[in-house]
Amino acid sequence: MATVELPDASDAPLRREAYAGRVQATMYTLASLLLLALAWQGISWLVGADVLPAPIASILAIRQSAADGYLWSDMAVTAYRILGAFAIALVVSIVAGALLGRVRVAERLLGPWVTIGASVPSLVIIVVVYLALGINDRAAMVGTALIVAPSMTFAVWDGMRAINPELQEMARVFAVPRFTILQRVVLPQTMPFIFTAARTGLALTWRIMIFVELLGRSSGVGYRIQYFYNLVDMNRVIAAALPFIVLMLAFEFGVLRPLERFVFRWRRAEAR
Amino acid sequence: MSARLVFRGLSRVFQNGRHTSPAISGLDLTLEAGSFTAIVGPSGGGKTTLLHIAAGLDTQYTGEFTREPATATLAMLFQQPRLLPWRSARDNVAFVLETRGVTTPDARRRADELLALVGLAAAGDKFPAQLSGGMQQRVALARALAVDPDLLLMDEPFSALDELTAGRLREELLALSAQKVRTILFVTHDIAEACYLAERVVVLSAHPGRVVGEVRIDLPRQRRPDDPRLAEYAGRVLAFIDHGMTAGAPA
Repeated sequence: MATVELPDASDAPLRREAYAGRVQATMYTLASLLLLALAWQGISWLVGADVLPAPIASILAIRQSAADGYLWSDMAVTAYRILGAFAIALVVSIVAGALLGRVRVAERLLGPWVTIGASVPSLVIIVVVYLALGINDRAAMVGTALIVAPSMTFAVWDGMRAINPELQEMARVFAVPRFTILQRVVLPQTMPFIFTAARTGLALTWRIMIFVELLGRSSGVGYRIQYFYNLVDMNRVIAAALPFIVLMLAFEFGVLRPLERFVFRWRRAEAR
Repeated sequence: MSARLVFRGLSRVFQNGRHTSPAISGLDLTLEAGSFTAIVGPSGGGKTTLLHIAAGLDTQYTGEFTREPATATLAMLFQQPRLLPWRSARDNVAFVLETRGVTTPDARRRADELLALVGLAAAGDKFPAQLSGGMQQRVALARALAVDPDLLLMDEPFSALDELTAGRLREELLALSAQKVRTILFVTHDIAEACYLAERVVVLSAHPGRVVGEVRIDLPRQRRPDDPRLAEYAGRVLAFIDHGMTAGAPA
């Protein structure tokens, strides 16, 4: 039987091209960041440094937070609350999304709840949860999770509906046991949209948690922002938020994106 | 040990809301062990339904269907390759072995042998998305052969490929089917393909599907696609199809 010839994947010119492409992408990212800093500086001049402090002043103010001793403790406590809330939201949305996407009766009966949940104002949920569970970290996590869960559930639910029944059919013909089909054919198909749900969910969790801290906690990034806002010290407001923004970005680019590229390397592989 | 299939008085009705449409009605057909049978008929007929019943995917039929022995090993080639996109070509073939209790290293070794057999010795590490449609279908063929099936079901496996690739794969399938005896049921709407590959071509009518005739292809297993006798056989199959169209039309 004839052997099918495969194109040589390890072409040196191709690799050099890819490298040049990466260098160019990095240059654009740096230029984009520089442009953002310039725009920030420009707006600061326009509206006045007492409303929007200049970038350099904000960055220097971070040192003051460090000197006061709460820079790292604020970041740590906020990160802890975000992770707790995110874990709850992830579990809830995967269970709910799987139920809604795979069980017809559940979809008809409980589907509207997700829509309703998504339209309840965040403030109402935060206040109710603080009243019900007390003003503590647990309530902050549960409240944030309840606000974030509906949009994550929508993402998982949509994905579950998109699972390809043809692959399950194939596995059944080849007499693959039921549990193995679930584990090796269905679950891997859910990974891409669980990943998407997790990424958007984490970003949303961080933004909501700042609010939740502001309303009922006496530590963390959100509390610190409110504290300095009351003192009308805008330098310190920005300085409170900036380190955590950098942390979130570092997590996105340093952990999530490389992980996604590795887990879904089969998707990027183009036919040549 | 190859399988023998018997369909007797087989009917399958699809319920679409209040609308019912019979896909197969009173079909009688026996596939002898080790035979290579092609089923042809107009599209929208019961060809794929019949294949799904034979595969055990569809059990909502009335009438009788038996597979002897009941424990026969099945494999199927679909119109689309239906590979797991997150597994390499090697691991796609190994998958059906691992789920049968073969250890992963053994399954991978066997997968490499089978990939070599279908001409893809160098493609083991490639993901399906890195392979052309024809190569993907070769991987699917290797996967089907991996379980050493007693019954090989094929649902228009070459119809989504370009003619050049399809022709080459047909040749290779013919060579493989000559190497080892197993029961093969091949569904297609391509009359020339059916006559070239099969020992026996069964013609189904459309709406509802029933057997309107069959043609035995009395040629040696080693055939050439341009054999002039094939055109003769194709003409006889076509006559049955025309007959089936008029006979199957509502009165």
